[in-house]
Amino acid sequence: MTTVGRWSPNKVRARVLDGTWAAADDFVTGNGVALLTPTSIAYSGTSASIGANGSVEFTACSSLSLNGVFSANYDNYIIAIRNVGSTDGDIYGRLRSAGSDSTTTNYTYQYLAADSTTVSAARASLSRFIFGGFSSTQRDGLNVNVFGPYLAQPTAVRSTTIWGKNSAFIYDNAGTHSLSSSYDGITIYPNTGNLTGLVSVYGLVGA
Amino acid sequence: MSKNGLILLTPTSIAYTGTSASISANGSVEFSACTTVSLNGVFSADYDNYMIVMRWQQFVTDATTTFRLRNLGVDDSTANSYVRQYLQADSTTVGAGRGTANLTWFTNSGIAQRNGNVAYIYGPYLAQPTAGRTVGADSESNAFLRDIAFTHNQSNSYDGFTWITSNTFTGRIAVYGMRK
Repeated sequence: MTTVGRWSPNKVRARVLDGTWAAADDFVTGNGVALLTPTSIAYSGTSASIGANGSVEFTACSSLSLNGVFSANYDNYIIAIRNVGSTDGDIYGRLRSAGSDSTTTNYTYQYLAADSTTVSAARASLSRFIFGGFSSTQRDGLNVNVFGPYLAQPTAVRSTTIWGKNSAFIYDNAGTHSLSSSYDGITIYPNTGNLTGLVSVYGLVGA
Repeated sequence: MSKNGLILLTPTSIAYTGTSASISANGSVEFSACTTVSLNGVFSADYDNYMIVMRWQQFVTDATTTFRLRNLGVDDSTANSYVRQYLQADSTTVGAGRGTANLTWFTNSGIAQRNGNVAYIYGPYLAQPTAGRTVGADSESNAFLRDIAFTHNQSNSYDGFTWITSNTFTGRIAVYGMRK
């Protein structure tokens, strides 16, 4: 085997079997995005637990709250959710601080949906966000970008989704929350039934 | 071996029109009451594709923000070189349209609340045409959804960009290189 290497600027961090040397930034924790660990969780349902890497796995839950996952370390976040549901429905979200949800009517959502050849949209102000949908027959996947929840300013969210309803359904949402308060967590819950899956929260370094 | 796939980048310099803008220690750019913010030297041969994350508030009136590619401190404002396609939802009205100009629409921007957007820029440093896609939440009418896809037809290399609003905006912008 030919050994081909390169030296990192400061010191050698690792050497791998194919003989290449790792670049210095290969091992910088949180460079770009960082997978975050909630300080605690709360749930209603069968089970939920924080995995070793910080993701939260949940089974048959009608609500799941992640506490202490937003902080001054990051402005913006990506929440990645994969789940299946006990039926078809909507996935809601609420901002949360010190273990309590913000339940006042300060949320506005705007959705854009595509179901086969039918496109629809609507806006409403409620006491929660809509992040997307869930189904009992297929996997659902959502990425939710959350902009500035920990800042004592209004918050914006944007979800991009694959809803398993009718096998493939787009149900994207943009939302705002008007209160200039700081939030350290999020509650995710279905409008009916329960959810089983995994949620991970990533902090966008420097954004 | 796993590697960091997304690297936060630091512009070599910035330019702005407005009250203030500065490069943070980590590389993101914070700006206050600006009408333009330019990031120089942020695209390079190290990466082909980039993710730009923006949060901002705009305080005067709702507006569409725009974007130009830039090289060596000069915007490319070649006539009809940018083509945009938007898709939006405003309450129950879904709209779409395509246009050609010497810049591209980049985001919508509302005054009511925070605005947030993620943009993906494909191949700006390559001497080939560039493509981009933005995904956003903005606060016009409290919540408004507008996504934009754009292309730029010039086969030039660009090391930066300018983000423009017709009013002033205040916020932060960060650019990430997607490791190839």
